[in-house]
Amino acid sequence: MPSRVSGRMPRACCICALVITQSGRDGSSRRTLGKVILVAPCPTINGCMCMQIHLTGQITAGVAPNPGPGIGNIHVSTARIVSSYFSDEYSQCLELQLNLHDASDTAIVTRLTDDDNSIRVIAATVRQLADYRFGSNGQPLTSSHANLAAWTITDAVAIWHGYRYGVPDVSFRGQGFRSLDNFQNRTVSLEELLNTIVIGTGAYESASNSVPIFEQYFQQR
Amino acid sequence: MRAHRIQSQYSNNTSNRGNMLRRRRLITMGQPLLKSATLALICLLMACAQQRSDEAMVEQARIGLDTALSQMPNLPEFVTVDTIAFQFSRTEHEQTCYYARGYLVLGASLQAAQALDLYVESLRLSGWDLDTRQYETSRLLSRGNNEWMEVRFGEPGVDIEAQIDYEQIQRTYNSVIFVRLDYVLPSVGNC
Repeated sequence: MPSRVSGRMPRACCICALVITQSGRDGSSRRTLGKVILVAPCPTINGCMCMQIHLTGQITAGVAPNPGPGIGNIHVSTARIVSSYFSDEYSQCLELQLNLHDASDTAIVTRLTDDDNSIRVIAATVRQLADYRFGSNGQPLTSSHANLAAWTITDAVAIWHGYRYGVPDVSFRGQGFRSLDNFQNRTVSLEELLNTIVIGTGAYESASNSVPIFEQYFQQR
Repeated sequence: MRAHRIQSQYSNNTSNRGNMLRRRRLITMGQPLLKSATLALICLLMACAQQRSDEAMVEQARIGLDTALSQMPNLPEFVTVDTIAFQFSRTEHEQTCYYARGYLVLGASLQAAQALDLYVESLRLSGWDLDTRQYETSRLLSRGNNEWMEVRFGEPGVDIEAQIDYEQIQRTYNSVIFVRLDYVLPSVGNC
């Protein structure tokens, strides 16, 4: 979840309360990092506005558990898991190594705040999910999935949902599917996937809203 | 003398007017400050209340999980090697769901497929319902509105693999069964 400020920034002088919270995209609890009262400009005589600042990423590194910095919002635990996956499953492919699994949280956060590194880890995460989606019996299919003719829209939506909500036994606290077998079941229709397979708060909206985007992308290819 | 008195009265008046203006300005500035401070206090109290409410829900889920774990079947063919539990919450689309998740690592004296069937049958007898969709290496079960479970064999997943010595457990038992039990609030259906 990107850093954001809710509430309007005041202009004339008054007291303002800042409640700084952090919540994780991968399901970690929202927690309050600090509460600050400060004198700040206020726009009108109506006075103070309550601002809530959600912080993730480099600002909270070392303070909040498992931050997800950078443009991909990849969380530290996810980066570590994906790096470990490529180390185990693709040990012969040096170009696929992320070398993050033994790094400290701070080092991973620093890497993820760089756009190039963030995109690299996003790509690796999607590749890992594609490996599992095209695999079976809880095992990944470790091959290239670059041939989009082998993909269906349902595959793309399942992988998107896995990316956003996590897959049990693959992602840290994965909760987007009841089981890894559910995620790997390629026999279900898109309608069934949307209505009965994907889970999590707002899962249907999240997954169904991705359908037209994937349809457009697949048509263009 | 009279002129001096008038001058003195004038300067007193000017001083009084200045004081009044200053006081008015203080009142004018003080009111929004007071309002702001009150609003700030309300904001802080609301944030605190929200956090306490979140913690209470997570705790409630944890209690539900503990109860469910204590009711798990106790069969002679299985040994509970490890229990790993944690809780978390997640907010999407303005709705928060609270999860307490427990993993049971069971060492079995039977072969994996047999152990899976026996354990699941025992769960069914204790009130768990089998999901219509089943797989070769796993079974999905639910009970009531808040409990959800997956029972399977195979590799340990990322949530627990660092916390158990899977190779050692494999060497000790004929097979290993993993149970993932979720207690979800407000309900499985809404999350």
